[in-house]
Amino acid sequence: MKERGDIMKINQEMSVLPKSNEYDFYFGPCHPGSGNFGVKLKVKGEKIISALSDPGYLHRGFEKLMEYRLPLQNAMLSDRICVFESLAWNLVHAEAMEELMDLEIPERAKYIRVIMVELSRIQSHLIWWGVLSAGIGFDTGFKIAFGYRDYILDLFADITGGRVYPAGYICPGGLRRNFPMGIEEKIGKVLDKIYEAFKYIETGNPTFLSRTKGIGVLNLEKAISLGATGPVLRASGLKTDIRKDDPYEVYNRFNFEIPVREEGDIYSRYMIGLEEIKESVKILKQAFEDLPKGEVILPKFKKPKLNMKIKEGEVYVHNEIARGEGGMHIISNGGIRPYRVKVRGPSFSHMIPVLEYLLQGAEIADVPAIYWSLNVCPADLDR
Amino acid sequence: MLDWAKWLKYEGFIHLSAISVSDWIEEKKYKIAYLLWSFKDNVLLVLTAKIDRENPVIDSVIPVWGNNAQSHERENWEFFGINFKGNSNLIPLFTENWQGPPPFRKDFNWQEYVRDKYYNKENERERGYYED
Repeated sequence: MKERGDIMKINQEMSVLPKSNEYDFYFGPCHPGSGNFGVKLKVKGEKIISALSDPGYLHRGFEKLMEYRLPLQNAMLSDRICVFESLAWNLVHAEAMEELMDLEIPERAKYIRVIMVELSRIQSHLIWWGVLSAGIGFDTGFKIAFGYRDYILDLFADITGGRVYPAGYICPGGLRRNFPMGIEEKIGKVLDKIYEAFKYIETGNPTFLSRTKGIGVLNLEKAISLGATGPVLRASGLKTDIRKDDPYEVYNRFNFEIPVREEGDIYSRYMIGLEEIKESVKILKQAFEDLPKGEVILPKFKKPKLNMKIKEGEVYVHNEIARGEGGMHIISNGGIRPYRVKVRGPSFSHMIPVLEYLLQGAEIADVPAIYWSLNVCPADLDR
Repeated sequence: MLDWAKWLKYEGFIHLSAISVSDWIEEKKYKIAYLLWSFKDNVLLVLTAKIDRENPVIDSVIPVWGNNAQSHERENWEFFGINFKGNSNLIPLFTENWQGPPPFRKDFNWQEYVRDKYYNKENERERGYYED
């Protein structure tokens, strides 16, 4: 017969119940709030002790695939790098190829490229607003944002033929087709609609503020050392924008501000996104005012030869896409296909070092809010 | 290498955009390009290094560009098999249970690899992959 104390001891040794409240928690990759990306969390109670990003769920090997394809096929492939802003990636690829081939594209094409990329930025920031709202449990915001985004997608369908994927609309040598008749008026109406969306945006609601202010704080020093770019870096206090610092296309002809905030928390990132939408609208209005007439593609690209050689060389092109610095490093050895393509997605830094750093010490309930406040896109990380 | 990196950081190149590796199979070299950006002067700079392809080892730049460099090095270790000396956290980032050679090398034929590993010649529907 065993004594009561012995039984207690045996129970303790067998440790039927865990001795502490530490456990592993896997956020994603099939969770609707994570989007094709997983984070392994070590949790104690409600607090996160450590986080480990686990990408790869969406890896398609585009960098390798592009070595096997022609530039015009790669233009189509470049859409798929990021679902949320396929036009911006189209532009990065086209610019890199043009720099390698020494091409100067028609003036009208440059303006239309800016218009398309800014529209793409607006719809991407609307997604950002939407998913961040969903991340803190404000589902109405999610629906409003995606509703207004649809107006822009309809424009894309009119102009490029595809709502989400433009199928290489911005291609090396210019654009695949000119603006359709009457599109300027349509875009004007859509921009008015976007302003209408602003009246629904919650910024003063105490519940919203308590979920966003002072949470997920990224200070400037950390932001730089962890490789943050774009709106995330600007929300931490550094005034930088590749459109101004290293202008491409015709961005140096437009007047616009770079919104900057000091706090570096979720709220400031959210506000940066909203202010950038307004700046994009400003750029669009200016671009329409002096939109020149004429062709949009170089004559030799109208019916492109398939065996067109790319000049030997190496180029790195980076653009300010909605999420930060999107770049492509392309090396050619003089063949008809690129020798090596390296895609630099902004989410690579935002989702691995920055996210791991911000999640340490956070609460479980704040994980989706912090995650989406970084304006992430798992697709451009995984490529 | 590390001295150059430290000097460049001191000169203002505090942002490491990416580390891009290319495989020059005929020269038997790997070319590693560090894409740098200076917020102060708005200058883009590419620092390149060539290393032996058979025994690819290079110093890690974590002491200079911190955790950002760490994840870029992890990616290139996984895809090219480059050993970054000083990076203690070289674990696969994208692939899971990968047994083949580093997949982004020029001598790695993914079409052959997929055919051998995942397709069956006896299967009528997959026989087409074996006909050239």
